[in-house]
Parts: sequence; C-alpha cells; structure tokens
Amino acid sequence: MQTMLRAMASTSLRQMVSVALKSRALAVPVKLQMEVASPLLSSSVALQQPWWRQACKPIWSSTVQVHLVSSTTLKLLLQKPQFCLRAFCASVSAAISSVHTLEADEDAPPATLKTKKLTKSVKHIMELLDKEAVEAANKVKVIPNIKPGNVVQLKVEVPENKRRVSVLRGIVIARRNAGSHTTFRIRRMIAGVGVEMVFPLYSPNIKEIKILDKRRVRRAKLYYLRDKIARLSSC
Amino acid sequence: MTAIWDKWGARIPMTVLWVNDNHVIQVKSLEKHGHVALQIGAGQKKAKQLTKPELGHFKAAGVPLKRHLAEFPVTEDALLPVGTEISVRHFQPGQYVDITGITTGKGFQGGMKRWGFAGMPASHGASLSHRSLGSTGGRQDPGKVFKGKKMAGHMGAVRRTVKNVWIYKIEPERDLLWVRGQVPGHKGNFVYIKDAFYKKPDLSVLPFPTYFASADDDTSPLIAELGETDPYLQE
Repeated sequence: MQTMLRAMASTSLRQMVSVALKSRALAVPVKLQMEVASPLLSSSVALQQPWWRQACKPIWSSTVQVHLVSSTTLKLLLQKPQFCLRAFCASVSAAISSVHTLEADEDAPPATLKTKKLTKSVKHIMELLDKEAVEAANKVKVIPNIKPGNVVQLKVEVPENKRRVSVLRGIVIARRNAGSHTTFRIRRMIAGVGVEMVFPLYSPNIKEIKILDKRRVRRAKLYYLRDKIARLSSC
Repeated sequence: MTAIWDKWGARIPMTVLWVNDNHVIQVKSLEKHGHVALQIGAGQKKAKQLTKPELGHFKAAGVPLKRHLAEFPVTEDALLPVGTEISVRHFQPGQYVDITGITTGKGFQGGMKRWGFAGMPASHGASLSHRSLGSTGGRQDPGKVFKGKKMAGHMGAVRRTVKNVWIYKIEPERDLLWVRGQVPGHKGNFVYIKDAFYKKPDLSVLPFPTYFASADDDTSPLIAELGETDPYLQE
C-alpha cells in the first residue's frame, strides 16, 4: 500500500499541477507555512525551470511544515530539494483533495511540464557541468586572464617525471576557449629551436601562471611569428 | 563526452549519464509472461504525446508517464514492486558496468570506413579504385562470392554493448553518473546500464535489490577510490 501511495503521489507530481493552477482561487486550503509560497502561487502560469536550465535556488527552506498524506510522500519530495514548486504544491493539493479529483483531470497535460527534445536538455546539463568545473578550478587557485601577446612564465608539475616542477616561459600565441578545456599555446626559442607548447588552462598540474610582459598585438592568433625572425619569439 | 582530472592529475575521458526518473513500470513473471524481468521506464512524457494503449499501460500500473521503457531480466529475489524508484545510487563508484546503446548512425559507408579495408595507393598508376574493395573471391572455383563478404553498406544505428566501463563518480542529487570512456550513441540517446558480466561486482557491497533512499541521506557526490599512494611516485 505504501508503494502504491508513493506511486500515486508521483503521478500527481506531474498531472495535478493543473488542478492547483486551474482552480486559481487557491481557496483550496493550502496549509503551508512557507516563506516564498504566496507570491509564486498567486502568479499565473509561472513556469518553473528544471535544475539544468538555470542556477536553481532551493524554493523552500528546511523549516517548511506540510500536511501530507503519508510519510513516504514526504520522503519522495525531500529527496530532490532542487525540484520546483510545482511538485510541491501538487502533492499538497493531492493530500487535501480526495481521490476522485485524481481521475478528473488525468488526460489534461500539466501546465508546467516541458518535455523538450532530450538533446537540448542534455546540452544544458553539459554546459552547466562545464561552468561548475570552471568555477571549482577558479576557487582552487587564481587563474589570470592570459591573452595572446602576453609573455608568461609557468610552473608546471609533470606527474610522469616524478612530479618535478619545471619552469617554462614563452609568449602566448593562441588561446582556444572551450570551457573547462580552454587551452593556450606558448612559443619560445630554446637553443636556437622554436618550441611551441600547448597547455590546458585549468589543469591542476599548472601550479602557477605569471604574466611577465604584455606585448601589443593586433591578432588573436600569432602564428605569423613562426615565419618571423627568432628575436620576436625569444623571451 | 568530456574529460576531467582525477586527484593525481591524470586526465580521464568521461561520459556523463543521466538517470532521469527511473521507475519500475511492470514486473514480468514466469506464470504470466514466461520469464522474470523488470520493465523500467525513464524520462517524462505528456499525456497528449502518448497513444491510448500506452497511456493505459501506465494508468494500469499507476506510475508516471515515461518516455522510454526497457526490460531487464533479473533473478526472482531481485524483483521490485511497481512504482519503485531506481536512482543513481543503485551503482557505486569504482564498479564496472556494461552499457548498451544504439550506436550513432553513419549511413551508407564504404569498405574502408565500415570494415577497415586498406584501399589502394593514391598514385603510382592505381586507376579509379583508390577506396574500393578490391577482389571479392576466387575464379571458376568457387565461382561465386561467399555470403557475408564484407562490402559497402549501411553502418551504425545498431545495438551494441561496451563492456567493463568504470564508474568514476555519482551525483545522487542530480541523478548523474560519470563513467570512463565512450558509450554507444549520440547525446540524448537512451542507454541501458547493467552490472558488468566479466568483472562481477561484490554483491555484499552493492545495494540489493536496489538502493532505497531515505530522507536523511547524504546527497553529496561520491567519487571512486583512487588509492592513497601516488601512482606517479612509485617506480
């Protein structure tokens, strides 16, 4: 019985929002004590975005008190705190309205459920994960904004070489933005030979990036330095 | 697909899988269906997007409407009641799984791409046959081309399984699963994840029959154990 209740409550998650929103009066006694409840409920079809569409703040706080049918329903809700208000008020209305209301509007699509193409949703998820990875990397250490034309000095730890820290210097000739795999290319003349090195900007093996000089360039990619005199690539 | 750096600074290619609202829709039994299996549904769907037989199937079970259904043969002691939610915590980081999916369709492709044929030289007199199959058999004996001869044809869009995929990270709050390496199919395609056949996990450690969430769970991400000693400093 408990699982059936849980299943019913989860059906109501999607399909009962229409009842709550259509009734509009909200005279349906919504016995909540919630801080953000009233302005959101009183607005008309306010679409609540899923967690991957925006940086979702939890809609309710932990001090909410709800009168629910069973404890299993409460558990189902508390599992996903990021889920939107629609799930919350849906189960509340299910708790208050009797079972016959469940069958009344079963075929009506819920007003706030968007079933977009999955390729779109997963794209949003990946972008969000990438952004979080970049933010996490920025928190660990300060990564300066290196641009082409900067002369930088790197302290790179090479794990394969018994974790020795090597100091590398050069002029940044390219920067490719790709979220957490943003890479930049460094060029330098070493013993008369031009050497180019590519590094991921957010790699944990780059211990320090120091900008020594900023040369004035009028390009985003300085590949022309490969054909120029050696003096321009030595730093 | 993305890539991350693990705690020792090694770069691991990753695929992110999203266990989107998996519920048990139907339990198949020996008496009624002839085999023992669980039918699991994933995703969400609006009622207007489903046909009446499909709607009835979900209504009969009393479960939310799903986008995709799949059957998983299980042993009798691993059967779950209808409506049970299967979350990402069913798996554990460090475990190996087999992932099955429909591969990316490549259309009509030639022998070089489809079977890895070497083709013929680009110059030195090769006439009009740089990418062709070459010979297809003998002469009067056998006097025919054998069945199954590798030739050009439709490639991709078939069901394939990638075995022994290592799970790196689990995020229970957002139902995300990070696995190492590639997975068949495009972004947004459905895949089926099972415990690995050849690297069988330890059943005493894994949740059996599945992970039943409780309200006071720790929903922080879990990462696989990578050992305490630095693999790069041991020689």
